[in-house]
Amino acid sequence: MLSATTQDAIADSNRLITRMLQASELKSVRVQDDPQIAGRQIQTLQQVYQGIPVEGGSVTLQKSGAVTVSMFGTLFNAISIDTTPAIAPIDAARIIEKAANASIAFGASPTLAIVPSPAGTFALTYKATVAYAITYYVDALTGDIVRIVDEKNYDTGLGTGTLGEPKKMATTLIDSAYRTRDTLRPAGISTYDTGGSSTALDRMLNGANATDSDLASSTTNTWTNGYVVDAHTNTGLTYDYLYRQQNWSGLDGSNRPLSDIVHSGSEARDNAFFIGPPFGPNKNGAMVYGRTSGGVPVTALDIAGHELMHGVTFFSLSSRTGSGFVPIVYTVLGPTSFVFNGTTFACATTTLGGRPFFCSNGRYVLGASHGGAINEALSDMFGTSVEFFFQPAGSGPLKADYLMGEDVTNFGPNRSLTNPAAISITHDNGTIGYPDHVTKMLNYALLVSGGTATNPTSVAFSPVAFSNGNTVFFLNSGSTDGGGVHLNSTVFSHAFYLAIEGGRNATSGLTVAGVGAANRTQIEKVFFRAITQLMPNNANLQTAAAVAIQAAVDLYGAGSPAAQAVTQAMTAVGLR
Amino acid sequence: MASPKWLLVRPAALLMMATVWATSAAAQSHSQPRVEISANVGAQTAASKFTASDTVPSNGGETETITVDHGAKTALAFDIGAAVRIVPRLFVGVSYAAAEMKTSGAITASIPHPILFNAPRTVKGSVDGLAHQEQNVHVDVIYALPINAVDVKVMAGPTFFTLKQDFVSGLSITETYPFDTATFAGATTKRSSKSAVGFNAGVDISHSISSQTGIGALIRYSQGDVKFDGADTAQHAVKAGGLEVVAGIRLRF
Repeated sequence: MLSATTQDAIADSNRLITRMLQASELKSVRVQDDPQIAGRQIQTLQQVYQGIPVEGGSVTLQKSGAVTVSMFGTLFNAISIDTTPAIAPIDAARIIEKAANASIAFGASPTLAIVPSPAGTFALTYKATVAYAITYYVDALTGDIVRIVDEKNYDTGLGTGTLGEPKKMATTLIDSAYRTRDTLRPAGISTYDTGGSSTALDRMLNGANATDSDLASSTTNTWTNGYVVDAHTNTGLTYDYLYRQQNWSGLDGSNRPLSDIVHSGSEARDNAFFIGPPFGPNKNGAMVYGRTSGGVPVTALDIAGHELMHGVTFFSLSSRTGSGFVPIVYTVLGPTSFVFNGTTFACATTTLGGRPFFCSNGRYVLGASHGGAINEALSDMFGTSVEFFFQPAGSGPLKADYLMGEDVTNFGPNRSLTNPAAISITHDNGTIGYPDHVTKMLNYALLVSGGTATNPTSVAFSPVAFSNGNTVFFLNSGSTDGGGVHLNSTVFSHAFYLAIEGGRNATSGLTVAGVGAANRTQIEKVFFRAITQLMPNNANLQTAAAVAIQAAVDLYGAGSPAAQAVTQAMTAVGLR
Repeated sequence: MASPKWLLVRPAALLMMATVWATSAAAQSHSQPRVEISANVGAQTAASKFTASDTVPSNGGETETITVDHGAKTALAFDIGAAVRIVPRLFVGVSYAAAEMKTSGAITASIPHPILFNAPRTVKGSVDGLAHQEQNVHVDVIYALPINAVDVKVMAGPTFFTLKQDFVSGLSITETYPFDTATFAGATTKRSSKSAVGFNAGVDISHSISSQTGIGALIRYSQGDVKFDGADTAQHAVKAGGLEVVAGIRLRF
């Protein structure tokens, strides 16, 4: 490897290059004026050995007049091979055409090339490109095919999804195996498979450079592992939705590389999640897809849309505000006591795990993560939007609906945007429905984790929540859902549904005139604009509602059906 | 007297010389020759245009269809032959004819979308220089009709066609995300060779300029259906032969 940008390094490299030029081991193959900096030239030198090009051996020089500004490239030394081929070009052509079952493109004859191997040896080969842009290298001594390079850089394979549906797999042929590297989408999508290894997951999540061998692979480009197929293709389809419907390129709008990780280990059991930079392979963030306890991949299309949308939310907020949603706890005052198993627990005297509850004038101070709920709601909105873009509306497998995760057998649906209360939240004493109105949100009693009970410096959510006057205990599981990020998301996401389809909010009784399914794109654009252009990173649900209304006004006008629908929907769920 | 071994002239030599056609040597109603050798050069028009359509596996289990409408052209033709009289006015002749045409092909392809099912892109383009090389052997029964100063011979018989034909074997296209359209960038071709048996019929008109030499013209139509294996199970039917109009010399013995 040759990389020289300092004068000393350039001088050293120049001596090498001069010597190689004099020895006819390098030849200039291109000199071009620098299109961006006047007065500079870019020159490319190709390494040759006894007149035969050495594959991968070249140097690019940046010159300013006679002065070399930089040089980068790779030059191989210690090449010592017999350059007399044992087979004729026509024989090599026959070998290639037989192997490829295709003719050599444009009637060209195979040409000699020296191919370096990873072991440091060199092979004299014939190379030729056949139809469909695949280049074959044949050992000029033995007639063996030693390398196949797909010049198209992509292949479309055929995969079978978890539900048995056919899917087109955008893959790349690397070292004679097809791998889950999608170069069709401009961002590029890599789907890594940990094989259930916690060590591999840790390595990738902690920003290590993932390698080609971490990608899922198939020798035939026919993929039967529905887990990999769904993760890889559904991320691709979500990318397509964002591009086609929202004019948005990938995670950050600028085609940051996309990485999926399929991990069947316990770390992702019954779960899928997005993790932002600096985590993820190559520090680009990642969507991680687990399996259910029953072994079913959590990789349905709406789930992939949901996870990738988390990335969009993170990057769009970060680029404008410097961070994703900040963990502000929006508080309300709760009761002075609650009853659990027949015992009354007053705020001032109750502790949990040795920590007191946060009290104000004897009342429990309750809190919820509004930013988290907005984040989850947006992901649900666009998870369903991706479904509606690619699947026919209806119910059942592979149909577009307003349910989340319904295509994951014995797992979903996890949430309903149509009727949030239809999905139950299981707690210690039974179930309640997901909230469809701000008054039914779960607000969690806050534990003091720093400072005093009346003047805490830091708080944490407890597994005791209050919803619409009811106390809800999650003591058995200890779950706080991060302050109800998932459980409270349906207030905002239900408004999205109402703005599209219209209908009556079951709690407020208010009716919304939606824009209609035929115009669903309008509402999708409204909420996409809200998060990518206008939303502050410290928004509560009420602010988010106002942002959405403003986005509708921006896009369609104050009196437009879209603006009216969004306004009515936010009113119906109690957010204005 | 010349020997029929002249017929062993190799095709490469024929290209320099021309086609030969054996005709009856009953010139001017005089005694008919035992053997007549002819060499002609002229033109041949392909028997017909044809369409070759291939369906090959493509993106994600879908199939790509490439349809090429091959044109027809008139090309330089050579013809060399010999005929032997077996009874008065009746000859048996064998001739070798060669012609090579470079035709164009209009390409229409349906290329599957690399990401989506059932969203093919239509690509149109053209390719020039598709070779159509014929090397044909005509075996004829020839009947001589001496009419005044010319000999008129009518002939008919089987033809053994050997056809080398270029077919489009693959396309290069230009496409960018989101791949809803694709444009033609080029085509690769593959040359195939196949033989078939057909027929020919023609008329030769000649005039003697000495006892052993003459000049003449030949008009012959030949046709054969040559079937090539396509990229899939389909076959490409190509008509070989066509109308041949040539003129040249006659040697009579």
